[in-house]
Amino acid sequence: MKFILKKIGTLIITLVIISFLSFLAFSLIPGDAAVANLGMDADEAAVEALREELGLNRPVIVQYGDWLFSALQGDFGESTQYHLPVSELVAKRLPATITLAIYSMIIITLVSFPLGMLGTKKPDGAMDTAVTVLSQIGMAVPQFFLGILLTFFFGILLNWFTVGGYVNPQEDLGGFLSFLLLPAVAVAVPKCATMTRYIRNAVVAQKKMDYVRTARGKGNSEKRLLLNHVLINVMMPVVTMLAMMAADVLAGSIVVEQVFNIPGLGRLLITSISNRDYPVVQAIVIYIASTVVIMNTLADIMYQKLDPRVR
Amino acid sequence: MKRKLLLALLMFSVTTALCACKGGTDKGDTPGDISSGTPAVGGEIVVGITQDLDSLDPHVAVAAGTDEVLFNVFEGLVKPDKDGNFVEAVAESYVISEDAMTYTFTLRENVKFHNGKVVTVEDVVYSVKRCAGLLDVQDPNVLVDSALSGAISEVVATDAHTVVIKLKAANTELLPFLTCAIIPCDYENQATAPVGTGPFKFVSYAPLESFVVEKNPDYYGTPAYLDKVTFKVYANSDAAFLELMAGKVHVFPYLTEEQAAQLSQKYTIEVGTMNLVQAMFLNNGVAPFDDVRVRQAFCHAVNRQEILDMLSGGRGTLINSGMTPGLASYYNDTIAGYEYSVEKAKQLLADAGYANGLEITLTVPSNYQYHMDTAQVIVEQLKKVGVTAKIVPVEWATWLSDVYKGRDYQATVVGLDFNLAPSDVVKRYNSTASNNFMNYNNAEFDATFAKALAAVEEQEKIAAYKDLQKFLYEDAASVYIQDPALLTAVSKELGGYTFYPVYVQDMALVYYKEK
Amino acid sequence: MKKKLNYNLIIGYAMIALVLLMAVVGLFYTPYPVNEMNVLQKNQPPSFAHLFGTDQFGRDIFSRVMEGASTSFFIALCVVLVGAVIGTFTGALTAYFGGWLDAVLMRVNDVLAAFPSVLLAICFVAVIGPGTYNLIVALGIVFIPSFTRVVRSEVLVQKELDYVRNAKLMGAKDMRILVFHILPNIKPVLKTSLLVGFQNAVLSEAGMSYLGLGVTQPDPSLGRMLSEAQGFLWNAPWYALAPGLTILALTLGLGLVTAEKE
Repeated sequence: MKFILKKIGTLIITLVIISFLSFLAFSLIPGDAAVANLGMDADEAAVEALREELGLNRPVIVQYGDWLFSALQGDFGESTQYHLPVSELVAKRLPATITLAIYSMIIITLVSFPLGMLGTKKPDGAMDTAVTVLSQIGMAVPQFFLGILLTFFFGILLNWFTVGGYVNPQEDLGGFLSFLLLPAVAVAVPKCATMTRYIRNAVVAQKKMDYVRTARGKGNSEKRLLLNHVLINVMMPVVTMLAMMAADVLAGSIVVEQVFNIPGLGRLLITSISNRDYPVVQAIVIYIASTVVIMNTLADIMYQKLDPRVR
Repeated sequence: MKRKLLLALLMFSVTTALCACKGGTDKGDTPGDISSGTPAVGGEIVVGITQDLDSLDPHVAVAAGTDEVLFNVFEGLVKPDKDGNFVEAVAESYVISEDAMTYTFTLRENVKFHNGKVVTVEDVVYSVKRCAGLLDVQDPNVLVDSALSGAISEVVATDAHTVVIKLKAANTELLPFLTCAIIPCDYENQATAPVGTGPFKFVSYAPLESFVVEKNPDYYGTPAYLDKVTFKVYANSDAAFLELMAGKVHVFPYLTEEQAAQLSQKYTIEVGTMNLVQAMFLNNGVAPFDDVRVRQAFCHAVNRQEILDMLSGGRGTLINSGMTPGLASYYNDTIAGYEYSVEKAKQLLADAGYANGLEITLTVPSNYQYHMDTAQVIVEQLKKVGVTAKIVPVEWATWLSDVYKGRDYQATVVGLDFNLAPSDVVKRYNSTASNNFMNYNNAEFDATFAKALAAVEEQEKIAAYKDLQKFLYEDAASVYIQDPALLTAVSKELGGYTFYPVYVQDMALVYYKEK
Repeated sequence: MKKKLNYNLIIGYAMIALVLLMAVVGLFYTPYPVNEMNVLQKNQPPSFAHLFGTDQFGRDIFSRVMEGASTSFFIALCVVLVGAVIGTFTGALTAYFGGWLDAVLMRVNDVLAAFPSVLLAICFVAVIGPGTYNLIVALGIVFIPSFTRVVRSEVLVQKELDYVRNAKLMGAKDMRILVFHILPNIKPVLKTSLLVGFQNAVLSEAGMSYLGLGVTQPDPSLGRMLSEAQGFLWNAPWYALAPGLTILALTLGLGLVTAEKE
């Protein structure tokens, strides 16, 4: 319990620091949101008035305090580009990104376990080598290039899906989910590869352990051995690893959204960066950062729960 | 067990992929009627746009891409037609006084806003004042139209149907600016649920996704044919192109030459112009461009036809000075333009003391791929006359603050858009104009411009504007390139797509052809 | 088993060598000037004249890939150097001297290390803007934590070993011990980290440039070329394949070599 409280305390301090740093950073970016907002022929007075309205004239620390106070109530300000509440903008983009990330996590889990075990029956055998080579390639391929390749084969050559044809989940949930499949594959493959290798090495290592030998000596079947002993012991680090991977998957989603023209958090982030829409960039950066830090804390806590030796 | 799991996963992926396929091709291309066909009432279409809307409040919106879409929802007292004339919209008629000091508008009876409210003179006065920045409490987000704020002294309703606009000085060219949207004076939600008087009314908007409008059944004029139009936002024309190939988009206006060629099987490719003055703008105030010979040398060095060939398959309209042929009667078509000549360019550069070459930087807004591409072609062309140009790509916001406002640059490539008033195109070249980012300075030009603006007599006005263009040409104020071609893919099932001399997409004229 | 190892290594080295060759030759010679345009040669498929075909301006894709490869190499190298030098420095110092500085720096380090490199780099570029040198700075910072962590844990082990104690007893100065005694001993670990870091740097650079947050036009970069090529997937798929496969060859080669080195 004390461990968990300590972890949560660190988490909160980290979040405050992250939010302050990102706030500080984005109020120092060159380029004036007020000028960008009013366009070519705005007169000085109008720019000044807007700067006043946007609160750009106050000291940074006051702006931060103000911002943090509202942010805690779910109010991240108004987008300078769209004149809409940031929270609303972000909330609308979230489903696509989260679905994509979860989708990828499912694929990673479903594919890497069987694939990781595939070669362990005979380490360094033909199957094992094949899996190793496959995972080497998987780890090396950039997600966006994979996305482009998938687009080319399935969208253009085979014409199985509409390239870039994002479907709104509210209109057609099935269409939405099936559209996200290929992007999810593009996000998942490199992580699948890492995971497969990790599981493979862990299983091979466990199999060499004394207790497995003893169990085998007692006449347990290979299948039983694998399920009852090896897998359970492999599970713990693997689950932790999966939790840590969530951050990578989120990062992957952001890049892959660009390839498949998915209106998710990533596209909003990239668009907002070039529009100098600070409130939006800030909110997304903090959102992503928080997710990463929280996932890591969860992984830590989980690791501790599963293995009390870690304190 | 492992194998089963894998197999199940595979099956899953195959079936979903097949489903996706059905969704994608069902709506595909039915071979269209080649003749224009008779209009059918009803139907829904998807129109692709590449610039997201910056606001739904027409007075707040800055981007040309937003105006283009909102044109369907909002109307001003007058609105432009496809020939560049201004026809009555919310106003039934108007009178411009002899001395060009007073504009009197009589409102149309029973024009209704989309929320059912009848348009009153209060709404009109409020809207015009809001655009001109004349309200007592002015929303700071509103982009005050400097042409209106500079010209109008007073907006009053003289009776329940008449609005009189009084000016500070004689001005015959205010009509194009009175296209500013008429909105209800007591409506708060303009930014989220906009209400106007146009042939379409607002349904929904999702940023980065889509803007949806439906037919306005109460429209006072010719009603729209289509029931519903979805403007879908794409990150760029490449993303839209992929959906065009799948037949999911009915209208898309910003194709590249290659894309148009590939789509010609499935779509009718309509060719219009963008109504932009695209040029390599030179900072006349700094070296080396403070020397007219250098500017002229650059005009000779840039092979404009090659730019057109490279970027748009030879399409586009070359321009020789700072105005486009879209402004029909004011356009000076007698200017010959600088011929492409490496020798002349080298000679002029040598005369100016740059016989051994010259290095310049081109500051280009990187979000405008077309201008970026143009700049890349120009850099290659300049190499042939011994000029080394370096492209510095900047964000749009940086371009605005550094180049446009700060005038801290040597040369840039952009396209300037303008309202349908000749003064709007050339007023920036006044030596005192706040937006004279070229630092162009010619006293004769200033005098002639003042004359043009005040002229009430049309022939005199035309002559003055033609002279202005000649000054710009002779002084080589900038390297004027073209009014770029606008390649639009229109589904073969559709008819009625019409180009305007301004940047709008009028969906009220578009229809499905009767089968 | 021994045989198989060599096999992977050979392929890995061959792939890296191939891309490196393209990059190095690209510095001095390309079949065509990198930015030379040709109206008559737009979007040509691969041929003897143009090995990888031409792009929408009629530029030779092979020449651009060569130049793009050198850009990628250059950036990745700078990034890894920045990360390794600063990372080794902070890692070694904090581990050797410990104390509150160690505690604070390690907290910061842990938080930073938790972020995927592309995400963190996006955040930095959002602040300082895109461009080749800004990208090096952004990615360089992003790569510091992993080196700090590796070097720190290694130095922590080393400093308790006898040879360090002996050196101390003989009156050697701390800095001298660090630089001349400990650092040489952590070289092997550092080498693997450099390889892994380099692979990550190549991937990150390509990703950032693909997103339009890295190398800016008109400089050719493999990532940028890919994003430009995406629009021509329909009629000129080779345009995307050329830079994509080049990146893949490099990262796969690095991956194979690292796997064997471990």
